Amino acid sequence: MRAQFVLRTRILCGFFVLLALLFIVRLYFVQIVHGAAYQDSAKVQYVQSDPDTGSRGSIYFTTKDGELVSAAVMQAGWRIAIKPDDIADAEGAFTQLNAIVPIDQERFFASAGKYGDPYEEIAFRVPDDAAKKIRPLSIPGVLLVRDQWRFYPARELAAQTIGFVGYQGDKKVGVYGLEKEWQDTLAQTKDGRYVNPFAEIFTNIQAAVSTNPAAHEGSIVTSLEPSVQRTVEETLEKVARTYSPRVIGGIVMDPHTGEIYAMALRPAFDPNTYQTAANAAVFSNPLVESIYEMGSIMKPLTMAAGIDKGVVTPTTTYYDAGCIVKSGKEICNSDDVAHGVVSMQEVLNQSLNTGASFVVDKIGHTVFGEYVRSLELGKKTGIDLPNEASGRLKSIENGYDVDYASASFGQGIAVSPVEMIRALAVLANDGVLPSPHVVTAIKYQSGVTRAVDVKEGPRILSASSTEAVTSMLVKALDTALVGGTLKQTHYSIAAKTGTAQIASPSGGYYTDRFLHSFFGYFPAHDPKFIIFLFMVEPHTTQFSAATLATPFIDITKYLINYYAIPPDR
Amino acid sequence: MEHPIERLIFRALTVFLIALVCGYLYFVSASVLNVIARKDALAQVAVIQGSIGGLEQQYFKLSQAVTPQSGQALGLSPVGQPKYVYRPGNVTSATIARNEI
Repeated sequence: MRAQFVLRTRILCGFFVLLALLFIVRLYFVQIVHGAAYQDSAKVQYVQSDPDTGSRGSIYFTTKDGELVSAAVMQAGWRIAIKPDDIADAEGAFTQLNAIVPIDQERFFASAGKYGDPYEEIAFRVPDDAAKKIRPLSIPGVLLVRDQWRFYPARELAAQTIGFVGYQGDKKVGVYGLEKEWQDTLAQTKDGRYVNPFAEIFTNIQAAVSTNPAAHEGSIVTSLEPSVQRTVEETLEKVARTYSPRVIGGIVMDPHTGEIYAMALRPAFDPNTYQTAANAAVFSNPLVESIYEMGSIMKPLTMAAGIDKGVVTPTTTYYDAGCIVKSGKEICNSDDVAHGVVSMQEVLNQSLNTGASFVVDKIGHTVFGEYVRSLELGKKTGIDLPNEASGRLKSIENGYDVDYASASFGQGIAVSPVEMIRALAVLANDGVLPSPHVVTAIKYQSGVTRAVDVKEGPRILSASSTEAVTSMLVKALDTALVGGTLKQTHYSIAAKTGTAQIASPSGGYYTDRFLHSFFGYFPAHDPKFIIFLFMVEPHTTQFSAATLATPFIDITKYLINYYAIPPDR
Repeated sequence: MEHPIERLIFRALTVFLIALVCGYLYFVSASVLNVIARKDALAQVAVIQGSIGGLEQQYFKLSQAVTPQSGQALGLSPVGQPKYVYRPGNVTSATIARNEI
């Protein structure tokens, strides 16, 4: 009995060993020998890319109440195609189709005449209701083919920030704005009909727990607030009509989180019909992609560095002779007036260039240079938009007195508007550098939404220094800016104007071309918003106080009402 | 001689095998049904998607058209001006010369 049991066991063992060997050999052939071929075959089963229609995730605005509004969506419809050989009565077919959707007559008859050609497309983006009318006609040789295209319901709203999709070679990809920067997240490589449901479950789980939410396909949620965006654009439009600048733009941002509520530019374009734009330069976003000498809005940062270093206070005085000589070159106040003994408060009130230079002399060139670099003015902000430019600080690397003096009031160094608003936000954010960004979350097809991580910036200035400069800027707006007419009785607003001369490519500066800039934040001692406005080469006026102060206060009043911000004084 | 639990294990394995086969059949058929249902769902999604863009465009047009002036014609009434109450802090509310409380 025992011997029989042992025999049976050995036979069973032998059988299993043989079976295991067979499996191993089979696995060797499957995984090693034919592995690559099976992998390719599996890919085709799991994922089938859509060659032309290029399905993409949506882009959303976020209202102040947290509701999502579409900024870019895929629109589905139909294409009308014909088989020329099957068209019996071309004239009749054209008349029937044209009564429902407009058909290009020339194209139709040219296509209908191509005998032997199996397929010719004659109309695109045909809506579903029109397709429903065409189908029952059963016109011989006429086909309806599924079509989808990118649609921007808000048209011009935030056009440069949203960007658009265009052809790159034979592929449809994002070519400007968020569409370009977030191409990998937005582009959908899967066609839903061919997705393996089990593989999809694992993909969804992977996306939900991934450390990098942007690495998975989905829609993107931005912090752009549609009503705020529209208000800023309408305000800029009015200014543009009055002063005809080359470019005018504005940013509204949360100085603490770096979330951008509005990023507006004029001239603008409609991304649905971008092909009709007269000048392709209008597609780019100078708020991110261009650098400018910003002028006197640099002075509060110079002053903050001086206060932080302990070399000046708001009451420190100096003698203003109207002009000073640095490295053999004369630097004067914008009004060419000598103001005598004045305080640091007056330097901001009257925007005195000699006063800003005085602060830099007190700090020392090396330390001032360190402050400018620590504010990351020569460095990209890392904003989630394409083609970001980095500022040029070359002049303060030369070591000439005149260059440091110029840099103290925003000339000689060139930075992008987004770099500038980030540096200025340090004053509103208790001395900490924020990270400007537009995208706040990724929304997956599974319904899961994941927030995008934003890194916390370093501390540049002490909170007491920024508080001192904030109080100085509030006083400047209440008493000096446009004669104190901008003062809001119950709201403290910190603000500063800037007017810069524009550098000529042949050296020196144009005497008749200026850049106007303006920034402000409120409620000044616990800011919810920081606003930056700029305008390149406005006509008919020289100073930004005359051009951008009123638009700034209009946007401020709108935000106070819209967000129901309580008074702070 | 048969091991005492051999029969039990055999039965258990048989049940397990049947369960696996049934499970396999169920999941394969569910996958097929899923593909069919997904195809229908995608067709519906395409139709709905076609209308989303248009509706969003309409939303932007309408929201842009609502102004304080046109709002009244739509039956809207202006929100009352908010009234904020000023409550002085403890430091400023102490009016007596010395803390005698």
